[in-house]
Amino acid sequence: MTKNRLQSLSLSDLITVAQQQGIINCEEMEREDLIDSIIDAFEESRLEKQEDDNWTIQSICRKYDIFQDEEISLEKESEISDHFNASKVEILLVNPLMAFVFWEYGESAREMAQKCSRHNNLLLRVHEKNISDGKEGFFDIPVKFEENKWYINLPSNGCEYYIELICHLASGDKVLAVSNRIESPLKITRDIVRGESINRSDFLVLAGVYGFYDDDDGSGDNSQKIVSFLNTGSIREGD
Amino acid sequence: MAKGYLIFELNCHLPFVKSSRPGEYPEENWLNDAISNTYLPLLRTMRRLDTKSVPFKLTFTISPTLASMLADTILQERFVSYLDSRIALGEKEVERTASEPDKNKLAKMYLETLLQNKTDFISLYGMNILDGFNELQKNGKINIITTFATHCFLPFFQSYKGTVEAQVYTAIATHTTMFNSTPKGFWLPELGYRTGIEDVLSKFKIDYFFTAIHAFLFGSKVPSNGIYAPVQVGKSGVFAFCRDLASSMYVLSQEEGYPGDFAYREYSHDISGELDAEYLGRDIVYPDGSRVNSGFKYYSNTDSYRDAKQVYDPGKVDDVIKSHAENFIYNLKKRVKKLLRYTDKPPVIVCPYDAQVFGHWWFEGIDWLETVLKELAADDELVLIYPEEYLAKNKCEEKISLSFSSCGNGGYSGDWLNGSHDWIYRHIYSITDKMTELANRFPDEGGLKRRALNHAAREALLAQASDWPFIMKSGIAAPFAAKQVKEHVSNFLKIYNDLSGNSVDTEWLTTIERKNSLFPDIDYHIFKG
Repeated sequence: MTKNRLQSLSLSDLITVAQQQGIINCEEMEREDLIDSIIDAFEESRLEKQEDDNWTIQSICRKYDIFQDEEISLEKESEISDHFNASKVEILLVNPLMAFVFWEYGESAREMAQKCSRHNNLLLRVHEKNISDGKEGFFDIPVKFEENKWYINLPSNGCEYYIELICHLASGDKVLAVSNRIESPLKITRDIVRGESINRSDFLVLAGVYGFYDDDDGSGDNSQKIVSFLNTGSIREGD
Repeated sequence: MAKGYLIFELNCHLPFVKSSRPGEYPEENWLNDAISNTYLPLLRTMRRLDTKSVPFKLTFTISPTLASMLADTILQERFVSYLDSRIALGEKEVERTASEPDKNKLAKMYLETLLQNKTDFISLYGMNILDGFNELQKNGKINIITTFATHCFLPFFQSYKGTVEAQVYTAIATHTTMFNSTPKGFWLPELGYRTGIEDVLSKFKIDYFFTAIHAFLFGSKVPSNGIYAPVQVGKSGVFAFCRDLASSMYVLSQEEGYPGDFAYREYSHDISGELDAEYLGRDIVYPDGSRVNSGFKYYSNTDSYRDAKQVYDPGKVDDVIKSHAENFIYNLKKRVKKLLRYTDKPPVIVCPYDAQVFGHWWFEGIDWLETVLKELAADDELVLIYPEEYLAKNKCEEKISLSFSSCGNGGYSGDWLNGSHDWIYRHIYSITDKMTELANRFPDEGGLKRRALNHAAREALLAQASDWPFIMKSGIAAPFAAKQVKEHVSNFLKIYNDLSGNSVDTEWLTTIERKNSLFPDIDYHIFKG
């Protein structure tokens, strides 16, 4: 963000931008202080976003980063006017430990969901099935009618998950919608899961995590955390 | 005799961005900068090597959205205007820097490149640089493959098989029209893999695709050749190649890779951040006061503190480029030598890079690539190869089920799904469902309704691009990315609602067809469930 860009804005627009950036007490600041604070906030936010990016993500970001100034949006954001005709719940995998769930109510389910929510009986039922041994289970997450999304922790890797949006009634559970199914990936090679041991140095070579630098044993940090499982006891040290 | 093989895959992609009026979207400069900084200089380099009979083999993914923009006559004309404005600025820069010889030399260099770009673009390629890529493919120097029509992130469309097929079908149809060939390979955007895509690709006669390392290591078993030979994915008959992580670091890392060398030019420092708006002109400083890069950059990667910056000296980089090219080949050959003790066939090292790393960000990157290609031409140990050639030469019979993966942080989906933009998915899925509904509700429409339905299909595909959530997460042009998603969804919904009321707004449809003018032969039936 350049000073030039901010200097071209009115004081009220600067306050809007400062508020968007989470700057507190911005209404009481002098114009120049406000501009400096906004520049700092943008820089901090940029560095924070870049901090954890791996090389590939950084390289993709760079092709879009042709601006001297971050884009400022001073208009009130328009809303999309869509009607969701049927109740729906969808689950998306974020990483092996987390999934994103969102849901909608169709016209007919709306009233029932609202009523259930008042009695804390509106639930996301998270079904889990272990792919290796077929064991099944579930757990419930109470949700409010006003909510329409959750990030949920996935307790186990190598399991299939799906969600039911449920009204828990005295007469029995009423399922409003059933989601798609996702599989939480393993964070470890299946060879190890099967109890087969792997030669550590062979594995490092074949996984391509050896040889970043001369004399590198590959156990250092790398952008994709591929070698996090190297600490498992199933990997024996090579010669 | 070859001891190991190298696949260079250069990924050329940008999301479809075309404003109704010239100068409306600063984001159109994504395309202009890419053509000017990467594609034209890269084409010059490849033609030069070809003329000198230097053998090379590069695999290019040219995405259907990028190809469509490169072939769009309105965007071609806007690129000429972009060049003209940069050339005018260059002439002023030569004058302005007259008293600073080092900077003046650079200003003249940039001006010369811009003039050369203009000559190449207009005279050599007749405004369509796809011709340049086509010619190189015809000569066997490059191999062009495709990717999803609008670069969707596959793992999020696992439950939408019809949509995935629509994305693949549209991609192949566009590729065939643009490049007069059917692609044998497929680039999974962001290397996003989910089980099942191999069956879809097999249906469309695709032989291979690329994955990130997680896919290979956390699949049904660690492949016997590790990541250094392709595997057959399940029973599909389609092969997967895995990218090599270390060679990414050499080229992509600012801190540890070659591009961060102090001799090289720095990317971020640009005169557009310093000079008066009036001087820079309205193509650099937009009406709202925001500024885009001008391309005139005078400093090298000396130090992060501006006062300590050194003026960039292109005369000092030739030796550095050569040493970095040699180091790259040395490291890869060393890797091959080590791998030969473990693998049952010559290892293949897959190096995929976003093409815009070269020239656009790493200014000397194209010269580095040229030097690598020249060195490899004289080397018989490490040999450049196309994926299909490697498959023809080597029996790759190992069958593996791959794991969910991507090139994102941690190897999964967080870069395309987080709190900054998760609202988009309910709308994207909603219009995807509605598009299938339309295709089934109108099985055989003609005339105006067919036009509307075809455009609805276009908007549904455009909304699915992985670029918008990525940009929102990066914060670079987040409001623009949000606006693009909203626009595609709203355009779709207008058509959906109009058709539900048995009407079509012809004037509006014509305007929006001109704006989002890609995939002219799209057929909405591809969404039929």
